Amino acid sequence: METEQAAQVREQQDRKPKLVIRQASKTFLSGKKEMHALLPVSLEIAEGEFWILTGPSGCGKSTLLNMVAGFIEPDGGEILLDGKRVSGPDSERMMMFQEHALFPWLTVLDNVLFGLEWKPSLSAKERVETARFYLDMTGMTRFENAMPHELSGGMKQRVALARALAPNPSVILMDEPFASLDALTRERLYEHTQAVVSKTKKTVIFVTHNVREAACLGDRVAVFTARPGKIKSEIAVPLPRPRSFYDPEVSRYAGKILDELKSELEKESV
Amino acid sequence: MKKPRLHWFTAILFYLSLLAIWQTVCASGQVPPYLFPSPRQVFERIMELAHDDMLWPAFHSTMGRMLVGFALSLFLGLVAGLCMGISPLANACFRSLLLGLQTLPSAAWMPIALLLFGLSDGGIYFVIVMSSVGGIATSVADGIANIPPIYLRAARTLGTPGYAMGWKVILPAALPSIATGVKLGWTLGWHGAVSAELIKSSVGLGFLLYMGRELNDASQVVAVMILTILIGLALDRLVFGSMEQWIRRRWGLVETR
Repeated sequence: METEQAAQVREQQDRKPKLVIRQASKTFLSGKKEMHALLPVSLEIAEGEFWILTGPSGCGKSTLLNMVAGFIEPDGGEILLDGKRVSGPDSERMMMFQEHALFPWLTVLDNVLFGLEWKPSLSAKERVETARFYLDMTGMTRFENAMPHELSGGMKQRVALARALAPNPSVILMDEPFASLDALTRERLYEHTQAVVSKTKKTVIFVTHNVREAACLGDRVAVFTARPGKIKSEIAVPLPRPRSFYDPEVSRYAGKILDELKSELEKESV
Repeated sequence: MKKPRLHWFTAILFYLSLLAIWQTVCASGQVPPYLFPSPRQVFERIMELAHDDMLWPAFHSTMGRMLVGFALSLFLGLVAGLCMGISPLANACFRSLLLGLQTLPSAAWMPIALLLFGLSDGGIYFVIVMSSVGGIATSVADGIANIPPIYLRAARTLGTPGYAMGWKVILPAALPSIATGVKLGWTLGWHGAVSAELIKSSVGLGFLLYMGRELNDASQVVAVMILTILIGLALDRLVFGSMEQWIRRRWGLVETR
């Protein structure tokens, strides 16, 4: 009896989503008028899912990401991580930016060590081992003593990924992390990202404008309406991994996402 | 890399011709040598001063005063600049005050220094601090205000606790501008030290300068002026300039390739 109950409880916990966004909204003042940056939005994100947020510029997808990260406080609703309301930035919800945001005064290794410094449970040796583990995973071990400015754009983002992974966050939030890179580098990073995410089984929320990128990386894609933004539709991408950027199935899903987006883009241009 | 060598060569040529013009003017006999000494006279006077064991004690005591005064100024300037960089309120209060104080020439601090500290070295420290603290504080504050916000956001998402932000993020991110401020502060402090020594002290570069004027010894005046310039320049280039350059290179702010 008891074991059955315990199993039931565990199953319920398993089914409980990792991250719950409940009616989160944001308004801002433009002159004297109150504008909606984001209409109330709800999402349930299970552990290990790779979510894409996409939509026209200014639809509030980045606002939502910043709210999950804790940089912006929602005006209404709430965001729960493991049932606990989030407030303020924390390494549990790790943000990766469009610019690499590596600290220019630290070496590659020290950059990756930075987030580990605030984990008192680790010894100095464990920190270095952890940092090296993730540098190895992103293929940057050889450059651990380099300064960030000595690296190419793609290498910087790989270090930024290692730095984001090292403190073992529950959720990784990516705000167009590959948007400023050239196409070739970007495609290599899709492979890297998929490999790393499937190895670490991280929950990811990824903001992008690029529908192909969305189809290539995402398990589920939330398409936002034009401003004021809300979620228009959710598209599941049930393709096996690793996916190639040029896989025809990926193209098919990209087309599906684009169809959803198109009507919104037309609205935007009016 | 042809350019730097060419620059060196041109600079040396420039100074040599400057010396040549100076020597020619003196050799022409149009100006009285007791008013306008020739380079040779100046050089000889420097050697005499060195031989009479006047230079080393002067250099030693001026540098000693600078070290104390500048250390004090650095501490105060960093603290004030940090407060101004972090708190807009502190910035609003202190910035205009510091800018106002900076408009006072170094020597204008002397009367109040004499009143406050009498004839002790305290007055010289006071002038050094008052001459340089404003420049240091405003550079530090500007450096902090201009930190790219992305570094602060990255640090916060990496879980940096509030108490560690200053030491681990804000200070290193602002270090290139802080180095510029320190370099500027040293120059301003050096002005202050030599000016203060002119008015009250019995040893030091400023005092040697003053003594030269008292003795109507133009070659000593010019000799000490040149030495003061050379020492200031050497410290600026070798110590503070290279420190600034090193930081800028390490931070990736200059092209290394």
